[in-house]
Amino acid sequence: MTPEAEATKPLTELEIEQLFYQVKKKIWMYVLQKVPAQEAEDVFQEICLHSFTKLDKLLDRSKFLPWIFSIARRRVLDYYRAKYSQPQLVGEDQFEFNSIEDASFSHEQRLNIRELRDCINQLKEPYREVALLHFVVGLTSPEIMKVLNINENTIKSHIVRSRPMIHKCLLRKKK
Amino acid sequence: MSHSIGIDELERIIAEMEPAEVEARYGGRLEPEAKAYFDAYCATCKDLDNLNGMLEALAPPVPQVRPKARLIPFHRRVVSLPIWSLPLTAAALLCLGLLLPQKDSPVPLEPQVQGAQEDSPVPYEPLVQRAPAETPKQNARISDAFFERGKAFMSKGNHDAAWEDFSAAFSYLPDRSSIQRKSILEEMQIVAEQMKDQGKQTWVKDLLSPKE
Repeated sequence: MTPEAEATKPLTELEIEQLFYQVKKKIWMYVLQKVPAQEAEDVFQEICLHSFTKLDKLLDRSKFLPWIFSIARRRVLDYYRAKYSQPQLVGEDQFEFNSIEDASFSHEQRLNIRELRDCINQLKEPYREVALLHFVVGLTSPEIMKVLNINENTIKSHIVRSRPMIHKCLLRKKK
Repeated sequence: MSHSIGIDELERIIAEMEPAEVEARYGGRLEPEAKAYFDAYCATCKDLDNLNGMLEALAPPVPQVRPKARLIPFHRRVVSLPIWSLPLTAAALLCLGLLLPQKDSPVPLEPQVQGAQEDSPVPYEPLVQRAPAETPKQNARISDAFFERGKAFMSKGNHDAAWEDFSAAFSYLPDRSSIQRKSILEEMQIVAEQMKDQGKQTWVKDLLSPKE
């Protein structure tokens, strides 16, 4: 079977499970960053439900990651469309990672994590989305390229430029 | 001769290069103030690179995804059935469709009352309050259900219950001149005879009065 035919043959349940296993943590991290804590699980389940019901439309399994992220981004937008007139930043009601007691992280580290997240949220587009996908969700440049359908060099440039912006934001917060 | 680099120039440089490259190319030429700024910047970059790992460690576990059976579209599940199972599936669906009570039917289509299933007659328990049916078709179906259950009661010797069900079947008849009316009245007459032997009164005689 040719690679093209292999990529387009119908997915078995096991394959769906394996594909989903690889991305579900990334999707979860993305939702946690985008949606208030109490709504995150609902949005996550919405994404899962939608992606499972639309699997027929995924013609090439190598595009599963961008495909499911496009669903996730649309679901998040739908969430905000339903809640407000237009998408807003998560702000104060974002998921409180610090609420989980974990002895391996000091108070300063948690504070730092929170500030980093705040600063990423305060970036302007297109830097914010790229920084979120790279630093928070943990996607690589080639993966972000597939998700956002932007040239890889542009993504690398956005990542490099977003770092000083985040650093300046941190300095402002510490003053 | 290369000049030393201040904060302003460093800011322009770090917006275009990775920290390691900046260090390699300009590390030795940074002014003390710029060097301190660059060190702090490198610490931020390190934190950013570790951010995903730290967030993953602190985040709640990924929620359990709902069972796939509920998520996979029905047609996909049906198509994935082996071909030999299709007649069985069709038969099972047909049986379910025939045996399950209709959604808008207020009474079960099979006799459900205790007295109908036991050999010894038991007192008739009045049925729960039912909402009036809306269409003649629904009324006819309800009437049929009462009639069938009445016959089941009668065969078990529970005349009171049979009488109540035949009465209900009669009252639900949409058109009292139908053949069904005659069948019900015939059954009621038999029950009335038996109840009369037990000294009970019925109103069937009014219906079967000489004017008919």
